[in-house]
Amino acid sequence: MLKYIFKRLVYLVLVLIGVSFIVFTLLQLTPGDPVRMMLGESATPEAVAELRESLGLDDPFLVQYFRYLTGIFFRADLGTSYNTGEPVLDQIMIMFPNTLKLALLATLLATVLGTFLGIVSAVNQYSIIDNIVMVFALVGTSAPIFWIGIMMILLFSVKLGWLPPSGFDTFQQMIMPAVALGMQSTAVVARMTRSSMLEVIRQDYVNTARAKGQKELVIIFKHVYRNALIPIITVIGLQFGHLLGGAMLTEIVFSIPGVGRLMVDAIKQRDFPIVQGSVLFVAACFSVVNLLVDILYVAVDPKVSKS
Amino acid sequence: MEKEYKSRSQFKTVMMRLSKNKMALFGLCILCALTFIAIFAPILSPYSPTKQDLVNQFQPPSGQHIFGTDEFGRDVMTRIFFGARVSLLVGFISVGIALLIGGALGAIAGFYGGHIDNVIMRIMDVLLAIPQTLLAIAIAASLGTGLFNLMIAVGISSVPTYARIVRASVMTIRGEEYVEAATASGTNNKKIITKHILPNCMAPVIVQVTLGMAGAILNTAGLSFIGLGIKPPQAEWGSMLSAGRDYIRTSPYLTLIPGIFIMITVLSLNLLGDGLRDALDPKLKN
Amino acid sequence: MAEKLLEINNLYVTYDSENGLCKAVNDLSLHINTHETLGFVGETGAGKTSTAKAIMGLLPSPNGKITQGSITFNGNDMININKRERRSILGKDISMIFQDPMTSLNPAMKVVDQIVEMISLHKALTKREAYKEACDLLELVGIKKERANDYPHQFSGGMKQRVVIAIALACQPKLIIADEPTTALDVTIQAQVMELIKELKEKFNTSMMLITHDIGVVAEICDKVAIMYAGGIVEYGTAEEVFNNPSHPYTIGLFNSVPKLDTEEEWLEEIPGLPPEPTEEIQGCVFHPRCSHCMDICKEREPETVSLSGKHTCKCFLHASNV
Repeated sequence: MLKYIFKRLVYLVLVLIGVSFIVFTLLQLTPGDPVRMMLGESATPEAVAELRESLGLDDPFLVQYFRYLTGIFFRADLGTSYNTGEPVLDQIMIMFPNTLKLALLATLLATVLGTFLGIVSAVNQYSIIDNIVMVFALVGTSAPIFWIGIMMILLFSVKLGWLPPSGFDTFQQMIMPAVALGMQSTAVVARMTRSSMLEVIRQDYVNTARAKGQKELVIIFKHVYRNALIPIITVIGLQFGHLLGGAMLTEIVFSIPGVGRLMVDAIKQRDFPIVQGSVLFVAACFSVVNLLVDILYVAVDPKVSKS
Repeated sequence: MEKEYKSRSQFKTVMMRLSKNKMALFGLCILCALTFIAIFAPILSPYSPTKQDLVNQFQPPSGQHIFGTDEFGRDVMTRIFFGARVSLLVGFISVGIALLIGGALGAIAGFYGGHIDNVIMRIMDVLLAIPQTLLAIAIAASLGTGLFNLMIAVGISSVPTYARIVRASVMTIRGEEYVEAATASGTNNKKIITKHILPNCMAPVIVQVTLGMAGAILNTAGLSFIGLGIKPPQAEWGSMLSAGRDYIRTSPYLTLIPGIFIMITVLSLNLLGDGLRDALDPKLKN
Repeated sequence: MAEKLLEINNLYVTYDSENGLCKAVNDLSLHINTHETLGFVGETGAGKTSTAKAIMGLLPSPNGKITQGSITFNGNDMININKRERRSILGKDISMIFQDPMTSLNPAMKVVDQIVEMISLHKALTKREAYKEACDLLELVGIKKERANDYPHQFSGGMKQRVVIAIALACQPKLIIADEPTTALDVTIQAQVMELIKELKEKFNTSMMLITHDIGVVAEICDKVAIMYAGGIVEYGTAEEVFNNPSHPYTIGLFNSVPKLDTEEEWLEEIPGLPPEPTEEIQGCVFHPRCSHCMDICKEREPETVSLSGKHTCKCFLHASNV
């Protein structure tokens, strides 16, 4: 088991190096000169050249990339912001807790509400409850996160005045962003839970349990849910990545100072190191979550743990 | 009766199943209507989608302007119609790009296996490590704004999905006995791929294309919303929504309407995709 | 006179399917006495499993329905019984051995826990006592105690079926319904498992309904035989009666399709044609399209069940007296 985790960790690092290469390359291709942006249009060619020199922007591509990579490995240095001159990692670390909190809250909502709705509708297949849940799930997967956010602001802040439209410090401020962001994932998890449960409900061993005279509720949890869990966990893990991505849009709608905001602002200002750092950072989080999900499988599926 | 049923082609069976699925038909109808709107947008509306008419700013919905007018006095309905063009086009082309690249990579990886498979799938792993929305944002940021760049950004970001699906089904089919039988009887690779493998991995691909278009349209709207998609004044639902945000207190319909259209479009594709999945593979249906 | 443990009268079971209403069981009547073994024989799709599920109340809802008839077990009306009472009977008084051991055990539970679940549902035992009893049961069916904490995927098909048998026997039920208990197993294992079932049945003195399409097995362990075709019983009687004097053309066809060791035959006879689709409506006798003795009347009317001798009955115009 430890060997497996170690192997996966090594692979994770390799994947992240790959990510850093892709992101670095992408931003090299970007039109627009960051130095011009920093110094303004009136800057003298000498000043521009000097700054380029000191940022190392004239070096060959691979040299620049190598410098970037060694910086990450040996100094945990994701570069410095062109704009503020501060280390990228510091800025991300200031913003990241909000993004993480938001994504975790949304995941929590999706997990709890999504599995609950999925189980209820699977157990009552084709009933009115099932139909209502599935319609909600379809609409939920189809509505854009940012639009749901804006509509919630319109309803709960502008019309009813119940909840604050922006910020992310108090619990009340967190409700709307978490719900807006988590809605889609709740729908996805509910659908997955339902179909996975229905798949298992048809299995013979569920009939075996019924033939024992076991209570239906116990059967649902002990025999069905337990075996339906693997696809559900997979979906929740994938949703977390989705939520990290979606959090960007939610942060903009609700004016939350998070990594998404940081990144979008940086894109507008051509502040490449921030963009690179943010993507890499989020990818790292996502990969770690996926690894945790894979480790969780082992706990859930006896077939994996023995092999 | 009996004989007829058995001799029905797979296509007909699928169509029959699909035609029994009311939700899927509903989705298909909406989709056709939206396509119609998109194609005939200039004929359907007397107004221009981009020409400003500052006298008629912020007209609430009325007989003259069914969806009202925006901050520049432009007719919202006209802009919605023209926006449908962008959404459907981007959805269609970006999925095409993703399918072409991803499908080819997946097929090669699945068919040849070994080192080729390894290299391709490791690259896909790297792309999959970045959440799709984020990848699309990063690519869009590097390419800059514009319709074409938007399609590429959204398309490339979903390449790994298609590569995985195609690879998985190619690998499954490759192991099937009828393919082994064809190999054993000396059929060449090209024939095996075109005659046996491709037709049989169509089902999951068709489903993913439909659902993928839904995702692509959502992503497009998201990118435009943060200003990385289509530049104003061109009409696009995401950017209309974004612009409308500033006037949410006074003219909420400016954000409400584009959002509803995004949702309806995505919903219709999702319904159709679900229906197709059930019709193509009844085993998966619950 | 032995008392009737299970009695089924005029049972009809239907399923809703994509291709229309499927009539799985049509007008089926039978009974099983205490300590008796009934062989329930027929081709795949004849409605044997549906009958078993109807008894257990395990028909898939909402598609499967009992539309008519009665099932009485040990004095209980098993169709209109409430859920709680049914649960107290299932497992304790009736238990079932399912067809495919590969799928009838929960893959995420240790085998011993699956037996313990049964025991603790119906017996007032502590966890430790139940565990001990489960281990004893495993030994009884020929599995070493040391393997109690393994998961089903670590067992072979034959061993899994032994576990299923252990579960079914855990509460010494009055009736065991064994649904083709050996069909999914390797031929070499089949005889072992059948032998085990026979041995344990005698040991615990339970009644059994053995669903099978293997006539040979029936001859070996059954007291009575019901031959089923297209949802209904075509011939019924003690094993002796049916084997000595097979009367329905379908039964005769079944016997002729089994190789005999005492006579030399070049070819095995087969029953021509295929059983009807369950959605198909057949006018007259359900077997007439495949019957070599088909008469005009067979195409028009459904034959009555006629009594031949003793308990032996047959549903065929060839034996009807007043046609």
